[in-house]
Amino acid sequence: MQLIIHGGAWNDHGGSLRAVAGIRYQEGIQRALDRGIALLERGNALEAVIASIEVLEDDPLFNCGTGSSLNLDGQAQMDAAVMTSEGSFAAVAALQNVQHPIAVAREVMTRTDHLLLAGEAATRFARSCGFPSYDPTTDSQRSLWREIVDHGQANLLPHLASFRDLQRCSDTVGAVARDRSGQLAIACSTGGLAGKLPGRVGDTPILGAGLFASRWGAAAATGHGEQIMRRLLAFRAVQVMRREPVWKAVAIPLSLSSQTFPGGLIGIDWRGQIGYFANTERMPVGIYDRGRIQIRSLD
Amino acid sequence: MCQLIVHGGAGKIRSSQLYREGLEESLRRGYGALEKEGALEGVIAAVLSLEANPLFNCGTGSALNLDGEVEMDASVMTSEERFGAVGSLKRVEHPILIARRVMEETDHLLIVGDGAERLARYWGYPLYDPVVESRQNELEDVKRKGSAFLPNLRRFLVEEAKGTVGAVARDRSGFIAVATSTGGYAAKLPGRIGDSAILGAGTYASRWGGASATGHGEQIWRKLLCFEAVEGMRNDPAGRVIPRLVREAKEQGCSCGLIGIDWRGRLSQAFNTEAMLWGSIEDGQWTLNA
Repeated sequence: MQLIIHGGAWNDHGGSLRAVAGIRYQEGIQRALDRGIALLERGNALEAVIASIEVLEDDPLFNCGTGSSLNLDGQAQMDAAVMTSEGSFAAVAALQNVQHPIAVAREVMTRTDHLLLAGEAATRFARSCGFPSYDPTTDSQRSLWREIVDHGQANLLPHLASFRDLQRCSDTVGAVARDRSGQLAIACSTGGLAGKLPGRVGDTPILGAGLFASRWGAAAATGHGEQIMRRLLAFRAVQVMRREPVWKAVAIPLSLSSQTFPGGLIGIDWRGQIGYFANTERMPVGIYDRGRIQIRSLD
Repeated sequence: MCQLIVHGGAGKIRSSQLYREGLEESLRRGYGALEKEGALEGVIAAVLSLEANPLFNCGTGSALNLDGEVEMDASVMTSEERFGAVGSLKRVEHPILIARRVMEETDHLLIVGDGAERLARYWGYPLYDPVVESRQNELEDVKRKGSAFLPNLRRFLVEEAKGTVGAVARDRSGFIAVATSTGGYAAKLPGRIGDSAILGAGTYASRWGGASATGHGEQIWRKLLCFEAVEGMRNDPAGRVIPRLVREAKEQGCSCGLIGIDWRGRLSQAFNTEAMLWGSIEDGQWTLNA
């Protein structure tokens, strides 16, 4: 049984809030790992990754669920997805006012024959499944949003490039697990880019882009969403797993790219080998492999 | 030396003079723009013509969701790997134009729901109602039949899935563009986004070629059908890759149709459904199947 969790990939750029919080990231990852392991030991891979992600969604330090980045309106619009090596997939995008977007994605999988539900209708779907209204915005994300809006001046819509430097790298969280029966599952969740246009959807809920699983393996990506989507990063990583060891499979898709962008990948292949790679200064990672636990921050 | 290929949906479609005329019009407008202004203008013009035509499941005449509303997905991509898309977009006349502006004027690739509609208004596209009566009747019909299928609603919806339009063009300078637009399928859940808005699923282009797909959106997306088609064109002509992928898709229970042009300007189309509406113009030579 294996489980790997990441908490996003980013560069500190000196003054980031995050530079001082390294140890808290590791603690958050540890809690998510503990919860996931408990479920992996008595349940299946899918339950484990969802439980791990729910822990991170509740932790305001991570850019998902409570503590999500805010869009240009100052709203948290969240994307989340789940996938298994049997090919089941479901996702939500631009979802608002729920506590656990990953749990809503799972309901899309069990209750519909669709892959992706988005926007206000996705929020309505969540309510009809019984998820109560919940405000995931935090003070620290509100002050970051204010900084972006003040910096961007009046004419930033729709030209975002002018304040791109302020947009924190979109640090999706993700988890990949392999259970006793060899089934693989992935779950990913994010608040997306701070200051994004309302309705913007990144790579996280996109099959092939932010996550992909097949009988050959499973991979989850994090980093600049648009670039990850353009390159179908997770799909390429799983393709490489057919022939190459997993450590190569997670590194190759990011290094092949002619245009470099901040990004990271985690994965588990069909043999149960675990790999992770990031080209950024930081990517907190937690690993559980045949009874052993490791927490790394890759810095 | 320009090529254009257009599809108007695959499924249980009976050919008719009206479909034929619709495709002809789309090809004529698309090819005119392609010759004068290049591949991107060509595919946009071809799809605009189908979005304006209430017979096709995109723009005016889109299938209705379970709420009785039109929610449209559209995307555009070029061989330089520029991409823009909208998902679950309501109350605009031409979703393909909004997708194009997402590509050209934002840093994002996909914008959905209310956010996409607001952006459309910001860019000056007026409120528009794309609902037509025949689609209202279709929804009633699907709901009635669907209730008889309960609790097997899932399977029923899959069987009823049909209709997306798309165009692939290659201009004199070898530049390739793809545009895809759809209303999704009747009685879909509100907020559902299918393959037509997804890079690599319903639309893909790179220096090796371009492809657009139609059929059961969820299955096409799972297979990343258009990405696989264009990747295949690296080594094989479109005429080998596309029929092979569509055959394989059928074996795996994916009903679909696929059109594409490879980097050397070779066209291809294939479908594993009863029919697919499609037409092409290759250096002035017309082919029409409707």
